[in-house]
This record gives sequence, C-alpha cells and structure tokens, in this order.
Amino acid sequence: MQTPMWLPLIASTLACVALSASVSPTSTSSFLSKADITRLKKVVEPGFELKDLATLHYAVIGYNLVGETIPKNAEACKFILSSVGDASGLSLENLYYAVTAWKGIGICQPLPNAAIIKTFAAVVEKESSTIPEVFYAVTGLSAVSQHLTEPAIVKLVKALQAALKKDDSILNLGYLFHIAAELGPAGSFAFERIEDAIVQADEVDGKYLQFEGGLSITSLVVKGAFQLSTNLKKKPPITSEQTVKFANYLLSRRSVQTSKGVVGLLAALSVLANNPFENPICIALADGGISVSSKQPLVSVKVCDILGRSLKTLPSVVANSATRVSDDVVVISKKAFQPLASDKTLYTMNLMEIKPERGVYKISVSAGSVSNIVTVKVLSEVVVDYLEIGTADADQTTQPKLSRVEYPKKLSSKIEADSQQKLVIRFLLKDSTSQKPIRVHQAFVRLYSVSNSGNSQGQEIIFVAEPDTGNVYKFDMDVGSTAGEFGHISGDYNIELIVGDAVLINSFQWNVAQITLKLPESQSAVQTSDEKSNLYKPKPEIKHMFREPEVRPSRVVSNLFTGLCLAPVLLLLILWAKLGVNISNFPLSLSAVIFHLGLGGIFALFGVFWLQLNMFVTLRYLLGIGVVTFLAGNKLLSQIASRKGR
Amino acid sequence: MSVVAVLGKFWQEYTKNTPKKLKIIDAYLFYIFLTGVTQFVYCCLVGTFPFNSFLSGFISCVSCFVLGVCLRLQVNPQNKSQFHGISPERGFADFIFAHIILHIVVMNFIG
Repeated sequence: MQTPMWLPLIASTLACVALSASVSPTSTSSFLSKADITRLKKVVEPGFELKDLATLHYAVIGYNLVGETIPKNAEACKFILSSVGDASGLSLENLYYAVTAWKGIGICQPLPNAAIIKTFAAVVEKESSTIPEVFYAVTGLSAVSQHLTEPAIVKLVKALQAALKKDDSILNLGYLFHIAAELGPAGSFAFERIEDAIVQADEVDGKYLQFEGGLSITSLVVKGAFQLSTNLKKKPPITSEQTVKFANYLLSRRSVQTSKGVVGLLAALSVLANNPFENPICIALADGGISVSSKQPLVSVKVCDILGRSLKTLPSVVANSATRVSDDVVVISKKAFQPLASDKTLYTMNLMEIKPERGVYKISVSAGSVSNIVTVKVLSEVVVDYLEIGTADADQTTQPKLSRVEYPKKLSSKIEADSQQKLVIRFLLKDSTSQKPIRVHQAFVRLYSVSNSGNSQGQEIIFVAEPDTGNVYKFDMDVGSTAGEFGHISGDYNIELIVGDAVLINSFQWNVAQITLKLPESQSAVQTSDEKSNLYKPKPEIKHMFREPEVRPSRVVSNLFTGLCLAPVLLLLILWAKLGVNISNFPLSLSAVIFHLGLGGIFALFGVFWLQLNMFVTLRYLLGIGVVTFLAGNKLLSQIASRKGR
Repeated sequence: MSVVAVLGKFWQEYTKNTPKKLKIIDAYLFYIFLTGVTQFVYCCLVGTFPFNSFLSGFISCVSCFVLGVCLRLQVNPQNKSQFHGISPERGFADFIFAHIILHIVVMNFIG
C-alpha cells in the first residue's frame, strides 16, 4: 500500500456531487471527444463485414457522419449491387438500406434505378402505407435523386395528414418531420407539429430532455425537427434551453452500444451542431484540470461546440465568480480567461494569483451568452510541523516521555510498552505555503506486526487520531485495554502515520517507529475454543427448579403459634367437661369400639398420608378402614336410635 | 337497656333453654372458630408462606365450622319439622363422612 488508494475515489465522488448540484446551466458540460468518436466508430465497424444491408447502412452513414473514409468500398458496392439484384426480391426496408448505403459510398456503379423508383413510388402512392414506410420510400427516392411530382406531393401530404389523424404518436411525428424535410415548401404543414412533439418530451433532473422510448426516438425527432426547419429556413419553436437539454441527453448517451443508436446519436448531434438556428456550446474543464495547486496554478476550460470543434466567433470567456463550496465565500468576480494560442478551444486563468485557501471551488464561467459552472479543487501541500512519540503510564501519574521524529525519518530506537502503559503520539500538520495548522480528512495510526513468522498472524490495527481545538493531533492507545484487538500477541509492531485528504497534493504514509508490545495473556481465547467444541455436545439435563423458600419466622414464633392453634382443643375439653359430657353412657358394645377405633385409624392414616404416603396407597387403606368403620358406625348409631325410640 | 344487660339476658336464656347436645356442638364450633382466628392472626403477623399450608389450615377450619353448623341445624329439636326423615344419628353419620372427605382433600393440599 504505497500510494493512498482512496484519494481518487474521494475526488471522483466530490466531482460527481459538484456536477449534479449545478443549477440549470446554459451550456452543456460535455462534448463528443475524439475518444468518443473512436469508440462509436468501433460500434458500427462490424457493418463492413458485409453480412447484411442494415448494418452496412449504419456503418456507411456513421463513417460519413464522423468524416471517415469508407474502407473496402469496392467490396461494399459489389455487395449492395448483388443484394439488390433487380430490386424485386428485397423488402422495402432493406431496399432503403441498400439505396442509402449506395448513396453514402457515392462512387458505386449505378443501381437498377427504374425498378427501384417503381417500388418506392408504389409505396408513396398507396394510401394504406404507414408513415415509417413512406419515410423509407421518400428517403430512398431522394437517394436516387428522383423528385416527386407536384400532384404526387399534394396527394402524399393529404395521405400523411389522414394517417396522422389515426396515429400521431411521437415516433410517427419524428418520421413525418423527415418526410416533410424532403418535400420542400410543401412540407410546411409539418412545421406546426414540431411544437406538439417537443412538449411531449420529459425532463429528467432539470438537466436532460428526452422522449419516452429513449435515444432512438429522441434523436429521430430532434434531427427531423431541425432538418425540417433548416429546409424551410424558419426558426424551430424550440428554446435554446430546450436545445441544450436535448444535447445534454444525447451526450449522456455517448456510451450507446448498438449501431442504430450510434447513427441516430451522431446524426442528431451533427444536426444540432451545424443547424443555422441554435448551436449548443460546451463549457467544461479541460482534461485533468480539476485540481489546481501552486505547481499547476492554471484553471483551464474548454469552450467548444458539442462535437468538440472551436466556435466560429471566439467568445470572451469570463469567470463571473468563484465560490468556495465549504463556506460559500466568493473569492473571484469577473476575471477574464486568456485564450490559449495553441488550441482555440482552451482558455486559462491563474487561480492561485489570489492565493485561495485549499478546498473545493465552484467557478461560474460564461462564454458570450452562455454560462456554466465548473468545479475545481485547490490543493495544498501538507508538512509535518513536529511529531512526538513515546509511552506514558496508563493511570496518568507520570509525565509522558516523548521523543521527536523528523519527517520522513524513522525513530532510531525501539519503543517498549507493556500493559500498564499507553502509547502516546502528538503531531501537528501545517500548510506549507500559509504555515497555518490544518486538519485533514483522514489521519490514522496504523500498527502492524513486523514479521509474519512465529505466533504473529500479520495483525494490523488502524486507529483514528483526533485533533484538539488547537489542531494538534493526539493519539493515546492504552496497551492493556486494546490487547484484545491485537489478539493478545506480543511482539514487534511498526507504527505508521497515514495522512490523507482530497485537497492535499502530498497525502502520505510514514513509518514512524517500531514498538515492542508486551501484552497480557488472554484467558478468553482458551474459553472461546472450548465453547466452540461444546456447541455440538449434549446440553446438561434440564431439572425442575423449586421455588426458593422464603425466610421462615424464627422458631419461637412458630412454636408459639403452634401452641396457640392447639390451645382451643384444651378449651374444648374444658367446655365439654363443664357441660358434663356423659361418657358413662358409652355403650360398651363391639361395634362402638370398632367404630371409634376405625375413626381414629382414618385420621391417623391422614396423618401418615401427609407425612409420607401418596394418594393411591392412602385411598386403598382408607377403603379398608372406611368399610369397617361404616358398618360398625351404622350398627352403633341404629342401636342408639332404637334405644332412644324405646 | 344497656348492651351488657342484653347480653346477660341472652346468656341466661341460652343456658336455660338449649339442649345439652347443642351446647356440646356449640363448644366444638367455638373451638373451631378460635383455631381459625389464630391461624389468620399468624398469617397477618408473619406472612402467608407457605401459602398452600395456610390455605388448607384455614379452609379446613371454615369447612369444619360450616359442617358443624349443619349438624347443629339437623340435631336441633326446633327444626324437626324441616328435617323430618333425618334422625340426629343420621346427621352425625353424615357429619363424620363429610369430615373424612374434607380432610383427605385438606391433607392432600397441605403439602
């Protein structure tokens, strides 16, 4: 990790954010560069493999649009002628492709014109032809330099108007503009429909204008509308803002991958760039011009048309204002850009003359009547004012012992720290030009083990260094409490300082020193391995837990109340004795004895049941004693009753 | 007439007119009542733990009291007309039987 990898990432993110934030500029922010044209050419190039007429058509038209000579044109001519034959075996669409490709190459032997004209004329005259079919036929006819007669045009216009009543979809309107462009002054009926078509465009992000259906329909309509207007020499009802937005959309689709899309895109862009009414202008930063520093103080912008060509009349390019994004401070107003002698599209301005602070700036650039906003970064160089490193007691009782290290040297002696100590680093960063202390986006302290041998496993731990109010960065690492992050592995570690920022030229990584850490042994490491192996073993049996008994009252209180509960028995006996219970009347028969014994037995059994027996055993005994007692009781009571009755 | 006088009169009437058997049963009821009160006081002073033991003891007292009152009703000669076919002996037998059933439940519940 010698170069900081994250810096380009941050830079590009910033650039994206800045681009999307700009408010409705009156110029485009991009143009069709040489690289784009080369790529688009690659997309259509396979058409020259002469597989079918459609791809050949797109390849020929595409090459013509970018001004490239057509390779192998003799073979291509031969292929077209052999495909056409006597013009009867081809569909209308293929015939159109063949004829336009033939015209595009321009130096082929003549085609069987009579048969072709007949085919196309039949389509034009047929009333049931659809608008795309009419487009193929009319364009094909003009390719073979055959003009429609005056009555045929009148008839065709009527037929087109009828067809539009049935279906005036945006696609049909696009084709209609192309047809009308071929009809000369008679095509003016379609001119009124341009406004209808344009209002159907959808705006995206306040920046793009496109038709539902994407690139092919958008390019078709835009190109048709401008061609028709050019032929009629009337300004189209499209505002310059709309034109810019259409151009933005088309340019945003530069990465198109189909040959049809490429041709549509190129055709529409070249019509936008060349029409006599409204040519969008591009104001953008020149390649790689996003960062400005004391070494490269020039902000250079490219002012060109959307195909990357210089403008016919060179405008005066002015920076209306430059604003720092972080706090909206305006640092420049009305400063002129100087045209570059070597390239007519480039203009430069020295931004560092005013010594701006580092940061991201938005510059509002105007060229003639149009303006745009470009975003540049002013970079600065950072220097390490000082850096101190050392150890201190973890409980702050003693002053830390710090030693200074010069950038980019390494501390000559090793630092040693054990679990009772902490590692302390203090450093101050300064701007090299202004000599002011600065804060950076990223200030990290990275510790990584020196060797991968032994029990070290290439530990690497990154800590964040925090600046205080005086912008002095402080980093304290308590060795004992961070032992877990090092995996409790003692040994030699390198200490590295990482300083990075999107607006720094020299973000750096600096190997400051080496430290020997003596870390406490870990107990948890052993435990965790035990836990893992236990995971698949049977769990301990779940046993019923009885409720924890509450604290019982003292023995004295319990005994007192037991006595109190028993006392009424005594009272009962006294009361009964007082009443004079007649015990002498006790009948000394067998049944009486058995009855009383049985009754006593039952209550004794209950006592035993309370103390040790279970319900079933108790019931069994109870049944035995109960039956005997019942019989005896029955006899006794009936005896008493009968004695009374006597 | 003071309350004391009323109570004294009531007590005299009771001792004079109540049969001996009923007095025996009343003594039994008084004993049960005192036992129940003692348990309740214990519960208020010390606490209900263990709750099932307190419940079984106290409910046993209440039920015994109810059964005793039932026996007294059946044995009372003044109620003879209402319990026509039931002799005092039959009442006593029922009383014993109900007690056996009651206490088997109480013993089960006491824990």
